[in-house]
Parts: sequence; C-alpha cells; structure tokens
Amino acid sequence: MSILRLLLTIVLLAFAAPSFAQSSNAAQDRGVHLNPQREPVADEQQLLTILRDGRLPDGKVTGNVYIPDAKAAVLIQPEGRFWRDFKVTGSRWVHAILFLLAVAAVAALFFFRGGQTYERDPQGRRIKRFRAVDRFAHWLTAVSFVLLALTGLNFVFGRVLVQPLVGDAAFSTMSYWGLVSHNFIGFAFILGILYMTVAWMQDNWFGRVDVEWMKRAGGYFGGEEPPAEKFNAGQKLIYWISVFGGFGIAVTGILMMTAISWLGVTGMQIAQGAHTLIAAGLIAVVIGHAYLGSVGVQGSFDAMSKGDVDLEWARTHHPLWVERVLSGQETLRGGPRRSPHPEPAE
Amino acid sequence: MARMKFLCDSERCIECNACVTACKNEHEVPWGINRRRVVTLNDGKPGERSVSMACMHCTDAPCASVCPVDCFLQTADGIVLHSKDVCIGCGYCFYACPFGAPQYPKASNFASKGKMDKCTYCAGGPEIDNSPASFEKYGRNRLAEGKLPLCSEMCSTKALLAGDGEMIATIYRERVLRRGYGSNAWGWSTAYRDSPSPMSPGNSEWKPEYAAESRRGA
Repeated sequence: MSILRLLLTIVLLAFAAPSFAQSSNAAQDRGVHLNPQREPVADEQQLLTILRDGRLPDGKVTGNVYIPDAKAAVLIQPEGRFWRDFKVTGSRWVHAILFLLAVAAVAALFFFRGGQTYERDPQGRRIKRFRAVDRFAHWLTAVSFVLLALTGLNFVFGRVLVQPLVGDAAFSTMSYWGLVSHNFIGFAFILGILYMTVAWMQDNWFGRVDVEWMKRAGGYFGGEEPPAEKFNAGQKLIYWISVFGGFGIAVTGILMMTAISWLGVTGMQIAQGAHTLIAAGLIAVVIGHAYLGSVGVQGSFDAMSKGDVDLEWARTHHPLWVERVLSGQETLRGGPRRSPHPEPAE
Repeated sequence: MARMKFLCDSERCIECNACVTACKNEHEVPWGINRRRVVTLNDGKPGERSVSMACMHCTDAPCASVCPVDCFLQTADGIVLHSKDVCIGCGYCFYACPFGAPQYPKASNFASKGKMDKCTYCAGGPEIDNSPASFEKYGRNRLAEGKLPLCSEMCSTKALLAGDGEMIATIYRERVLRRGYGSNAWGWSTAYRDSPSPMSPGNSEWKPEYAAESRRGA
C-alpha cells in the first residue's frame, strides 16, 4: 500500500513538475477539502499484484449492485485470461494431439498388425453374449457419443476449420442447432452410461487373470492369449474409463447448463475446461475401442450387433467365461446372475 | 482517427445509476439485461467507491477470442461490436470477459441462453447505421449521428467519460493533479494494452493486429 502511494506520488510528480507553480495550491485556494491520506480502494493495480502473487485464487473484485443479479456485482475478474488461453490454444492442442495419436495408433495397428482373425466353430455353434437391452444401451451410448463428439468438436475447431468454408450464416445455424442438440443428446448418453455402469459392473472387477492378460497385452502382438473372463483386462479398462469419464463429462456438462450465477464465472471456466479435457480423452479412447471391437479383433462385432458370438471365438478370447456358461453356473436369460468372484457379504 | 474508451472516475461517481437508466432507455433494452451497471465497493464502509462498468471495448478483446462462431468485430475506433445473427448464445464470452459485460436474455437453464447483448458504445451493430433492424437488435447508433455514448454524456458529475482515449486520459490527469489523489481508472490495465493507466498516454488508434485472436478488423 505504501509502496503504491510512493509510486503514485512519483508518477504524479513527473506529470506535475512543470505546472506545479500555478496549480500546487489551487485546490486549497478554491477551498476544496483535500485528504492526502486517502487510500485507494480495492485498487485494480493492487488486485493484479495480488493475483500475480497467487494470494487470491478467485481473483475478482466484488461490490454491491442495485440490480437483482448476483453476478453483476463482480466488478472485475482478470483471471479469465488463463481460461481464454486454454480455450483458444491449450484445448485445441490437447484435442488435436490426442485425436491424431489415437488415429495414428489405430492406423499402425491396422497396417502392421492387421485384424486378428479367428477360427469358426465347425458346427456353427454360437453362444449368447449380450442381451438386447445390453446392446441397446451400448448403441444408445455409442451413437449419442459420436453426435456429442461432433457437435462438441465444432466448438473447439469449427471456427477454424468449418466457418471459413461454409460462411457465417450457415455456420451460425449449424452451431446453434449443434449446441441445442448437444444439450439434449447428452441425456441419452448419460442414460446409456448409467445402465452400463450398473448392469456390467459385476463382470468388470479386476482379478488375478487380468494382471497376466495385461502383462502379455492379451497376446495381441504374438504369443499365446492369456485366458480371460467375460471381459478381458482391456475391456475392463474401457469399462472403467467410460464409467468415470462418462460420469465426469456428465456432471461438468450439466453444470454448464445451469445459470452462470450459480457456479460463478470461475466455476464455469473449470467446468468447461474439465468437460473438454475429458472429452478429448474419451474421443481418443473410443477411437481405439471402435477399432478393436470391429476390424481389430474379428468376430467381436457380432457380440454387439447380433448379441451372440461364435463358440470358438469365445473359447479363444474368453475361455473362463465360456467354461462358466457351459457348466450352467451362469444363465444369461433371467435368474439371478452370479458374480465371477465370490464377493464378500455386504 | 480516435480510439474510443470509457473511463470511470471513482472519486466522482455518486452511484446515482443515471447511466444505467439512460442506457436502458436509449436502447430500449429488454428487462433483465443491463448493458451498464454501477458497482459499489466497500458499501457503507470507510473508503466506499462506486464504479460504473460496462463493456470496456478492450484492445485485444477476450470475448472475440473465445467466441466459437467468431461473431465479434472491432471497428477502426476500437469499439467491440458483435453480430446477433451469428451469435448462438453459448455463454463463452461471459466466461472470458473480465468485466461481466455480456448479457443473455434467457435465464432459463438446459438450453440456449439467447443471443448475447452488450454495450455497443452506442454504435449499433454490423447492420446499416440506424436501420430498424439495427435498432431492434443493438439499440440506437449515436456514434453515426456524431454523438458520444449517452451514459457518459448525461453523467451529472462527469465521472464517466467516453471519447478518444488520449483526450479523456488528459482530462483525467488534470483532475488527478488538481485533487492530488485517485490516479486509478478501473479496468484500464485489464482492458487497454496500449495504455494500462490514464497516466500513460496510449495510442489514438486501434490496429487489427492488436487483436491476436479476433480475425475480423473494421
């Protein structure tokens, strides 16, 4: 405070020096009451100094207003600069890098490894893998995710990639409907994620076999494929990524739909940042998942399209699960499903 | 060429809210939208000050930078305008704005917030000057009539100054010298890259290259 006043005095003197002769006592001459001790109130310079020192995490100056709008009472919040840099530069880089990495990884797998083929069961026997409701939930999530990703990426790259091509009017209309549908489709996505979280959790706890499976990368790059249960370690991994990522993106997304005054600007900035970062991660993961679930591991697409898979395919990739199903320990239709692991009593 | 800026002398502002009312009336701003507001700091305590705040028409405007549909433009006078035809009401400009200037007509949750509305420095929008469409969306275009923003024109204590940045800074400097204190103009160090304080003379123009991210010039 005192340093500030000193600086101020120096600045003033620099300006006042030539004209001091006639104006130094002008105020007193006019009978104006002066209080040189008067302190600047919540000085902006002071605020910026505090912000630089990191003493004020949500650096803003708030006062009172007569209008019934709480957020209008914030006079100034320069911390938006960080979010601006993130929105304009940081998030674009994160999205671009993760997306390109995922595409490159998939392309490399396809060209150097090729799709993993399988031997069909000679008698054409098939085994039920997903019920209709499971598949519905999966495709509800998948379709809504793709739509959400496209409408969401429009907010990250649209201004750079699409707007120069289609023009302002078309891009504005497109983005407006993109925004509205993003906000609605989000709930379909949440519904799908919720179902899968609850219905598939029992098959997705990590166990000892998963460690072995992970160590050998599922035998994908040669070597014998380690045995797996209904879901192998990789599938379990994507399950948990979807659960936690889906939960995070749903919460931040819903928060961004609330009125700004509820969380405040800082809260909105954090919600937007988290939302877009989680989205970048999920998009990359889903690109890999889509490849491995279709071309990457042949025969696996049947599980989600037809609901049943070739018996030999199942024996190759999920022998422990096949064993259990065939020995009648687990029925897929109706009846209480038993957990693959004995679970402790609650 | 002038570089238009706002300057609120917090030593003079008496919190009469006339600027707020004048703005609402002149532009027939809908209910719930305040392009300008008066914020009182330390209300009721020693050292109380009031500041009239609206869009400061920043040198390198954060709103223009983060807008996902690039609806902002900056005139050669440095005035930040936006096109309501292009705006989709996402709210990002409010996240980025240091001064809380952007306003949204629909407070409803879940869907869109409606087209953003903010201070136009009484300079309308991208439409033809003072056309009915321009008035409907952005209010009166006083600048096209050779007038300054109404809020500052009718400020009874002349606390709120509008006009060429260099000119209003000179007026303010004279005041500071006469009274001997109060050298801080709220928002200047955040908004104006060329002149972080009225004590440092800034440029009298706004050049498109000042805006790193707002691609559109005048």
